[in-house]
Amino acid sequence: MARLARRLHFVVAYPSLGHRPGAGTSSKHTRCPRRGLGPGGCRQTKGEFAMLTRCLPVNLPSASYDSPIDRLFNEMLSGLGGELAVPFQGVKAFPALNIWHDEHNVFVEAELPGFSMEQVDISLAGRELTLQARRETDSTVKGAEFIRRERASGTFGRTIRLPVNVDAQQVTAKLSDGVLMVTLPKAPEARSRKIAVNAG
Amino acid sequence: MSMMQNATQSGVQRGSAGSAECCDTTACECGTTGRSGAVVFRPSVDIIETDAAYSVQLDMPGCDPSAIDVNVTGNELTISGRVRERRLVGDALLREYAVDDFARSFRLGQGIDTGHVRADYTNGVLTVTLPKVESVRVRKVDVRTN
Repeated sequence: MARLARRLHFVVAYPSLGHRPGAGTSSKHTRCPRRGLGPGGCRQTKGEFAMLTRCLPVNLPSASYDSPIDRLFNEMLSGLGGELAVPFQGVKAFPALNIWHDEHNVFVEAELPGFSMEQVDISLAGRELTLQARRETDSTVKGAEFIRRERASGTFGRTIRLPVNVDAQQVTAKLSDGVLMVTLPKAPEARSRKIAVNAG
Repeated sequence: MSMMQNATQSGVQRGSAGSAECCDTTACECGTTGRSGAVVFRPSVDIIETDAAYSVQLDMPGCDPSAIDVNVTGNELTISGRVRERRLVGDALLREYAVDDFARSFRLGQGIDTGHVRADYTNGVLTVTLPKVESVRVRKVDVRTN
């Protein structure tokens, strides 16, 4: 389990641009995901994936991902210790992801409020799972004026590397009330098998 | 618009999540309240003004539509939503967000027709429409020329 978690590299969308509206010069920037191929670091993107690093939410809320609640959870979960506790890693990219697995499937969940399934594009290339989507907030309504604007809008793209091979033909995705759930059945060779132990 | 409301910071902060930040406008946030002080999330909000109404749009993914409460009490708009339970079966590999209920409240300025507030929940976004009373709506007046 711990080994799997370490192998789960992820590539995030926007920090490569080094600019996030409203974020100022907070320390969050210094904690951008690591580059290169070091242990646990991001995989460098090439080819079509390099394009994804150019996709960013143009209006990402500046403060909502560093709230006291986030920090509270951070502390709560990091205090659990042991193999089962995956530290709450905070949001470095949009959308935030929760990923878990059981014997048969890998589950990827993202909160995408305001998106319809037509606006979400999910693709799988080998172990690379890519989510892309676009959301427009109502800025085009005639005569409308924003009094407050916190919700992210624009295009985002995110690629993660799955820890195991999955069966691309059997991947399913469901978007329900703004929650995207992608179920990726593990390839047969990736499933754990119970080995009978013969007693001497 | 003549609907500005100067809300002071004092006396509006309460609840367990989020800080009270006030804007000098008609929909003014006044902190969040949760169920018995439980942890709640403050949903991101867009507030959009048109000639006829204010539209308050909140990202509240995963809520049970029947467990969303929108209340207008006096000059306060209170919104809360309970999320459906989403069980993680198996072992976590990456945890970037936590799932919990939502709550946020706003102080309303004058000029809102509180009797005709409407709320819709679509694709995880709650849209609360606050119509303006007739007297404050912008009316375009045609200028006649001889």
